[in-house]
Amino acid sequence: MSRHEAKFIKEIIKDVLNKLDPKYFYVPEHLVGMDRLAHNIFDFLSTATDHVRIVGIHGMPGIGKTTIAKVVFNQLCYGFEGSCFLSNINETSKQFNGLALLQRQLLHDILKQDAANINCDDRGKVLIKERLRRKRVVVVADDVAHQDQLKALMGERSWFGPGSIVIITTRDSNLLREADQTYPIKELTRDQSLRLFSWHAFKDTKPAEAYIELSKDAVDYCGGLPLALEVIGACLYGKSKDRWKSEIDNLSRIPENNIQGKLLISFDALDGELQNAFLDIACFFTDVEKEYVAKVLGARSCYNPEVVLETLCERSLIKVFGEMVTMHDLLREMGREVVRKASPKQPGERTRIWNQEDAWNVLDQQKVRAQCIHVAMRIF
Amino acid sequence: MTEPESSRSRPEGAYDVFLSFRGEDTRKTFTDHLYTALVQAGIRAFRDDDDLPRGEEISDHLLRAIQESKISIVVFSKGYASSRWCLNELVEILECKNRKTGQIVLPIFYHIDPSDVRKQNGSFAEAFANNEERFEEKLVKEWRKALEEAGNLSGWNLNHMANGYAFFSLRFSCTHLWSHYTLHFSM
Repeated sequence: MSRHEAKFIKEIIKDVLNKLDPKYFYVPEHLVGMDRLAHNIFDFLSTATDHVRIVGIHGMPGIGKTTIAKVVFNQLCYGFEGSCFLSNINETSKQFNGLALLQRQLLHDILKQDAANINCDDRGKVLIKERLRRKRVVVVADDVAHQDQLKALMGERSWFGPGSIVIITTRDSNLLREADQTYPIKELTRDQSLRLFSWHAFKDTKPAEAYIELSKDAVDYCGGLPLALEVIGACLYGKSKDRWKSEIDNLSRIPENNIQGKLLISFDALDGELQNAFLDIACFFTDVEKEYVAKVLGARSCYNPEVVLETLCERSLIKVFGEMVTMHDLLREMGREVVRKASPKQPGERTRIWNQEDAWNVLDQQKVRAQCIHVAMRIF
Repeated sequence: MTEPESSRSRPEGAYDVFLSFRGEDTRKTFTDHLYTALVQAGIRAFRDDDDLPRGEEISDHLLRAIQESKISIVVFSKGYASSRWCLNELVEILECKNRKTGQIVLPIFYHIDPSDVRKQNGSFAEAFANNEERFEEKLVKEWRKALEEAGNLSGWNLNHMANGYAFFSLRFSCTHLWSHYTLHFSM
């Protein structure tokens, strides 16, 4: 075998390994009420065609849009030339040059190589169109909130090759006018709610005998929302009846549509150190490597960071997927709101500053007080 | 409560890579090295040999191996087009790719020009002159179409490597502008 051939084979193996890299996403074991919808979407997308198809999934926050999109993506991703799941588009696009970052990820995930420098999203649009229009791909745009975000990532159907599939999840069904098919996600029924709740509160399909009535009460306050059922269920797991009663009492005082308020009950039930860790993650460490998060948390508290992360996971307040720590955007918002509320007007008085603008202002005007223990800045 | 569909993976015993090649040309040389390297890298590879005795149709076993593989690697060598087994296999591979389940097809051009594959020139022209005499027109047409499609796919060309071209001319370097530095001050 010649030297060229040896090198040639080495490069091919690298390419093959890259292409075999598992692309699927973790989805929770206890999916309730999602099978049929996922099945319908998959059925619609399975018919062979040369058109580029756009499918929209919409519904309120915490209803399970992203989860459904992951289930469908997992089923589809191997059948295409390229695939990309763009998570949390709305959050990422708030960063400096955020849209360009997302465009870069799109190009990288599909072409499996670093794309050219994209310094503005107009350049990104051209590159996507040029490089992907012959590729049969599946792309998920998760949590889209503005038309601009869609325009930057998938301006026209012709940006992707024949037979490609685009899946969009959003809270705003108005963004789905272009879609060939839209799927609203409905709240879970009472029975489904009770089943999902029981998975988290009892690790079983139904409530423990003595807790049946209490469970029904708790479920009624969750409004059929999977996220609330999971977080409230996990919060009550292993607690005494008296504790259940007092938490349900707390729930009953919160207005029906204030989901954040309901989630806050789980935060309030944590002890001080865990609350701090939760707030740190909400403000700074969503989608950050677990090892790094553990290191910072370890330096800040006397608790073992592994135990802290595990407890927050058990309470369903954070998730650890592979090596990354992540958090549902409603929970992240809830955490940030807790910090913001401490001093609504003056960022310098808050315990944490996560937003670049606030950080510069505070540092510039030297308004940092002793309370301000954490500042995160992104320097470009 | 049913198992989430997504947790279902590919069938047990499925391969990562299906290798299609002309045994006479590369069995003992290139394809053998490639197969060994794939296996050493922990990749489950299936290699078919067109010299094995077989019937007219592609066997179910072979068909399943193609369908269940994530990637099909097709090693195009000078004699590829003179084997009807190879050509039939290629038709199946591309059909798999284009069907809803789809899959990745990675052509390798081993001492052959991609345009010869695409347009059936060079050594492929001779093979096809022969094919046209021996096989029915419809079949030959199907083969030509398959070669044209496969020749257009992005793949690997040994001649580029031998001539010292940088292989991934489109590999760009990541600049500092895009690296994020997150600083945490503790005060």
